[in-house]
Amino acid sequence: MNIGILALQGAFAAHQRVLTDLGASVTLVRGVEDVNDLDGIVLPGGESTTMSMLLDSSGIAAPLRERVRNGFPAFGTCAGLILLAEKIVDGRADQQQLGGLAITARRNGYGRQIDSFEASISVSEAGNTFAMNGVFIRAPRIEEVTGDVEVLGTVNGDAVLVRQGNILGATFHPELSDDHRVHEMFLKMVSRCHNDLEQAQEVRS
Amino acid sequence: MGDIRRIGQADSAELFDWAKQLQAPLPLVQELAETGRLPVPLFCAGGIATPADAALAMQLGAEAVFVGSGIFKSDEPERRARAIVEATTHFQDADVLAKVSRGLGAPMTGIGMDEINQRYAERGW
Repeated sequence: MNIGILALQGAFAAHQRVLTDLGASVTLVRGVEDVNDLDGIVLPGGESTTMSMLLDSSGIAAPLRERVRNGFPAFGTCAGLILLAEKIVDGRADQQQLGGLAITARRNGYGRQIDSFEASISVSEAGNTFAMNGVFIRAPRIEEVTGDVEVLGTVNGDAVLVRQGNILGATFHPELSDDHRVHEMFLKMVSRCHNDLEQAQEVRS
Repeated sequence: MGDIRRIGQADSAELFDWAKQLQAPLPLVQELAETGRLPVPLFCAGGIATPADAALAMQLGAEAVFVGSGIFKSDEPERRARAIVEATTHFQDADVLAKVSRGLGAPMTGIGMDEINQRYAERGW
């Protein structure tokens, strides 16, 4: 299984460290040719308007948007989540979405850089409930959750970890802590999708 | 970057010495030795005038590049800024670097030592 990490801007290195520790094979994605042969993609934290601009100039935007909308496993943290959100508030007029996650996210929803914080997240996923520490850095705030989006984690009632189909999104930075459970969740999603695809191919042949 | 590598090789006694030399807290030097990197992003700044300069800084280990006068004092700041952003993003791709370096107009130039009029050694503070 080969996991791509969008490496045009932002904290892709931190995700690379976690995924490598978890035994995944990782590709840093900077060009259109890097998008092939991937089983999933991670969209890291950073600055979403810059990522949007570079996704466009590198030619990655269109093919990646197409794949994500067709069920390609994607995991977005912070700026990455903003890219995946169907609707955003307080964005730049020219920033573009990849979409796929039926949520509305407000950029800088908790305030400016100085309002960054750490908080305990109540997580409930596949029958497991636990608390984990979340690092929120100039985080977006999920203001609306629609469709069949599952809320997996909350802080003070706000959704901070969500999933829809093969897309996982976090407004915090699991890659900046030693707790790798969210990344493990994503790897499981990728593995299931990979197995489903293989089974579908076997049935056809 | 070279010192970071040397600190990574140091034993615990040498780390005390490094901390004294750098006038840095020992726990921070120990963390650096363990992880091989600073706990904050490493920005490189100062004299970056061309897309190639920015790509070079990234190849040498910078995690981000800051460019000020290099953009504002050049002939075409907006074009040069875009080019430097692309060169920094695709710092390992020589084709991108070559492509964005074309048609940018003149970069900022440095000030030659013999052109400097104010010498602080004479003027004092």
